[in-house]
Amino acid sequence: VPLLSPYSIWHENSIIEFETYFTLGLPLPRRFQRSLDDCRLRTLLLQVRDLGLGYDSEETVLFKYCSGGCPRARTNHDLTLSVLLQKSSIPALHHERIYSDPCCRPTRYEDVAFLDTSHQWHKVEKLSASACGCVG
Amino acid sequence: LWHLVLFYFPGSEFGMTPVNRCLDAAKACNVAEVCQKFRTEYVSACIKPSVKPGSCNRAKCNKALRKFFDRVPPEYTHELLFCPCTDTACAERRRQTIVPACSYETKERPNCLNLLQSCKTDYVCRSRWAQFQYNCQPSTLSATGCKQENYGACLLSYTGLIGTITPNYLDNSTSSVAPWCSCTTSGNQRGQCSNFLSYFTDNTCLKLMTFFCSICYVSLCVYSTVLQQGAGGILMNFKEN
Repeated sequence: VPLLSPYSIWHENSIIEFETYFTLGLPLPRRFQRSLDDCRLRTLLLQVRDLGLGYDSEETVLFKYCSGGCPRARTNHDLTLSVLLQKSSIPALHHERIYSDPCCRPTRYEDVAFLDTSHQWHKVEKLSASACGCVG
Repeated sequence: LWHLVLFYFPGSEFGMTPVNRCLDAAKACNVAEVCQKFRTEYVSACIKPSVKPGSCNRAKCNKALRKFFDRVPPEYTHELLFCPCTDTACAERRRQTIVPACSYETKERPNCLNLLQSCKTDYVCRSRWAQFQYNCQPSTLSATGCKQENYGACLLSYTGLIGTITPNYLDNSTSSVAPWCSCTTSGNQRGQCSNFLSYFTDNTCLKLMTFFCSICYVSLCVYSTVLQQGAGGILMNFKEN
């Protein structure tokens, strides 16, 4: 269970400003909308035992992941693929898992270490993302 | 004395809810990028098995530990190392902070003078030992227990020893610290050996420093001289009572 909702690495004032817009139900200014939509690193504070990896530790760790949109159809390859998918000219394509858009994925990862409840150290490799990019 | 302490540290270990300050320190480290990074780095170096089964690369582990204490701001490192504990779970976590199994533990404790001798042949170790001796020199004349009257400097010098002489908590029930060595086989150099060991086990400056730096927020201890004056004041009260 996340202890905090996703928050970005904005300046503190921006977070307060963002929260004000959010609680008042006002439409978000463009700069917030854009930064919310863009593919970038986001952070969750999680208990180690909620990582789903079977470790029992009371420590909390930052779990950074990537989300957000990527510019559509960047390459000719993507353009052709999306046209093919839309036209459904080749029915077999619909049974395959094809994505014509680039994906927002980690481009770099980092390890995370912690001490468990029986005082054993563990290092979990590539647990957290440290950089994001539009892949594909 | 206690109302003064409570005034300084409301709702910490004296509160009703049991808290594990060492766990809190670990959580704080995990959310600070630099602390998390160097902590992961030393843990990786210290738990990585070496070619010989059941062992690790001690030199790499110690180097990574020194890097952690050198590069990470003291408000994180000192909280991890000097967190106050009221139960064994907390104290064991505190003892495990520097990964004793790899950083210093051996089947048998070496003689303390051998430890000191090999320290003196190493440039880093030699200078850090000298710095520690200077900054944590005990004094019965001073209210702080330290000749230099500077807990911050003593604290930094103590953590500077980790990855060299590597003193640590002896067990999970007390706050006594010492390096992993013994004086039992010292022969006629027994006095010299005990003298070295007593710099850790019987050092008023170190004892009072760890006491005050653990009950307060350590960062205050490092950055503020106000606390030192405060500590002196409390000590005066303590002595009077």
